Amino acid sequence: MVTEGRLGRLFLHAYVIAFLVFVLAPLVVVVGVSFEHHALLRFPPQALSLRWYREVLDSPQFLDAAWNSLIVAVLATVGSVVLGTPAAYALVRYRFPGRDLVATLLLSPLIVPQLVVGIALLQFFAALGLAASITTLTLGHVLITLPYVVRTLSANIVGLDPAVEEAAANLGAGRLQIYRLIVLPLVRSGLYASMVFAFLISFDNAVISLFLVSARTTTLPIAIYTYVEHSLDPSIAAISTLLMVVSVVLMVAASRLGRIERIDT
Amino acid sequence: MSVVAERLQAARPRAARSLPWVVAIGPAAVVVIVLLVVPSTALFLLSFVRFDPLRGIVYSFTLENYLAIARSSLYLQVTLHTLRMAGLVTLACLVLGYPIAYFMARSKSRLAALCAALVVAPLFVSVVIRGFGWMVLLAREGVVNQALVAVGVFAERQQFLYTDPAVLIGLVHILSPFMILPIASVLRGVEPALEEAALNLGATRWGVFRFVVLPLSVPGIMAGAILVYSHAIAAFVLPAMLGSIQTKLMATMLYQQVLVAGNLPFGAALATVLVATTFLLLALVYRFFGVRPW
Repeated sequence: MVTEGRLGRLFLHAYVIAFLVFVLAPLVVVVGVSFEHHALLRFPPQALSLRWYREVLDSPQFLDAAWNSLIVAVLATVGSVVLGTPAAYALVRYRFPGRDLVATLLLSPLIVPQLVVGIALLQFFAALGLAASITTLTLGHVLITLPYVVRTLSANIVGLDPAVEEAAANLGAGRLQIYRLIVLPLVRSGLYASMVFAFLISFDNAVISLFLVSARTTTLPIAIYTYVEHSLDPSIAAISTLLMVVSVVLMVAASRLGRIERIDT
Repeated sequence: MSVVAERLQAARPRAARSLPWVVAIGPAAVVVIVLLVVPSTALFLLSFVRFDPLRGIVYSFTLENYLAIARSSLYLQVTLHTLRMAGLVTLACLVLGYPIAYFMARSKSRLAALCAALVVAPLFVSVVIRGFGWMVLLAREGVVNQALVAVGVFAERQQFLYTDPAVLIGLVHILSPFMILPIASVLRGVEPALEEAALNLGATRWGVFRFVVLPLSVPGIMAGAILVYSHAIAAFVLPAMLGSIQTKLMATMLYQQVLVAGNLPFGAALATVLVATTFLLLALVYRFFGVRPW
């Protein structure tokens, strides 16, 4: 780089740092506020305490919601990985009529606005006479996590050399054996990454859940959303911080297992 | 699809070829059809059904729901307001995000790696939490007000929370990754040698940007703009948290009609308009720029 670029580069760096402050500010503030002792949303906190964490961890309201979130996220992850893995494999490996159409179909839960998906599911379940339950909520979450699994895994499968599968076939392996002993182990990292994505997408989802939860099946994001509507105190910051810790831990795990940028769209 | 991928497919193994693809793809396709295609179609059909405030849904054909939207100046205003807000969000994401994308694509420094991680990280934090964070920041006693008063921009604290600018800031915050990542990925594919060549041939830095970098990154910009715009049109949670009760956007209106007023047919008509607007936009961009939005 020539010297005239040095000033420009300095500006660029300063701007990047300013932008990162903008990106992180709302998250940092939430963490900070959660340690304030008084019932004030004060940042930086002045009287430090863990009072709100104790309060949140003693609150059946938040604990039930956390439990629901966890169950739904685990079930949705299992569901979308079981459905999405063979689908991704077929999309990459086979040519068949309407293949593009099927690919678009499987990604369409990302294209239709979630608000509309939520309303459509709400009236669909109502028309079938299904009351809001963990099952209906899980079905909604399987639908929206499926595209992420399909996309992450097809990106991985594209990188597999079919010669390996061919060799296994020539050595007498059956289809399921190839699938189980060759393909799955080779895309293991993609599989883990898509599990983490699916889990987090479900765990953090607010829009679909808003339409599909009942008082008994409230999830954590919905509990936060409704709580914030009528009162603002640091307990929300505490529960949010705990939720973020879960996300960060899983995300670090995911970034070790696969490229996170695949989730970008 | 890359040439390599095509070639890989051409050489697919014999055993795999005989595996019926229907078995592999069928269950996932059925789930999406049952949980998305059927309910959306039903919702669409419901928009042509009458709603009686006393008796609820009456199953007879009507265009009344659409006519009500077309006739009322309120809904036109709301639609225009939503499209304008989404436009502003998209523009802000582009202007603020482009330098970040460029930096991520070109720099190999530690800061660039940090940047790449931090741009993606908030995507994994619930939108509800990020909304709450902005509520704390923008509150009357919040950090933003404190700072602006301390620096002397304002003599006294301002009402930021529950206003349109708050919604704008919040939406830019959650949607900027959708602009930055596609642009960065396109710029990564642009040879830095092109820029050096232009510089050697006497172009100014601005000229290099204007005539080399920017035109080459148009596909990334378009992809990002579509993503941001379509998400911004349909954003619900953040406007509900940061906006005022007077801020009427298509999504908040839709929510109100369905869950508060219980007028599902009218909500269905609003949803149809929302989806039609989004798809029309995607189709236009696809038609003129050949960019696939997904």
